[in-house]
Amino acid sequence: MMATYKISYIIQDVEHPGGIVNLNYQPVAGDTIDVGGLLLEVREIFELIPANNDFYYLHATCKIIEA
Amino acid sequence: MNLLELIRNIELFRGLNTEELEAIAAICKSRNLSKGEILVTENEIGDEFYIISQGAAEVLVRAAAPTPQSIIHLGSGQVVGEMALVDKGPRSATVKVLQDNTRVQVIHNADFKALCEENKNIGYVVMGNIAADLSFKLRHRNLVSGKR
Repeated sequence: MMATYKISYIIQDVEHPGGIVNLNYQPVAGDTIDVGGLLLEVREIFELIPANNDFYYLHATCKIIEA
Repeated sequence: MNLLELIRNIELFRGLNTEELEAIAAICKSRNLSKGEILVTENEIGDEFYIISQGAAEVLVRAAAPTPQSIIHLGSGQVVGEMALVDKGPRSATVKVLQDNTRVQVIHNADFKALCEENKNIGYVVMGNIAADLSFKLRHRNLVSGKR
């Protein structure tokens, strides 16, 4: 079984409700992530709740790169 | 990735063994959706829940607002429509597809409940995971509220 990173994200400086997405890699600050076709730069990321086996729970603050 | 591998990596089914995952896979029906399609409609009665296996959807709530307000975007791996399974109430929100080629796995509540009757462990594990998922969504909402 591969690790799953469940990301709660919010987007700075725009009216956007934020979202939740699963990734199969661990994003770090500076990475670009694709959430539903929206490219975001991760500005800050931290563990939201402790990991459970191969599931990791993170919260990211992001900035839009392109729509 | 085949369906079994797909659902093995979905949090909702975390803790189930391979035989139980195969039983879940047997009641999943795959559905492809296009951008703008409505998956569920607020206040309607729902008899199925969904797992987004590819793409993304937007959750909209009308509540007291004159127009529906977007409250969250949900991407791959997220569960939609599970509240009706838990509380049997009408849909709490409308869910609109954000991307072409979005794919969901559809599970009818009756099929899932029948499976739980056959194997109580499936119901115990999945209901616990649904509670954890709803808790995660609430934590997300708290953080979004803090942003404003």
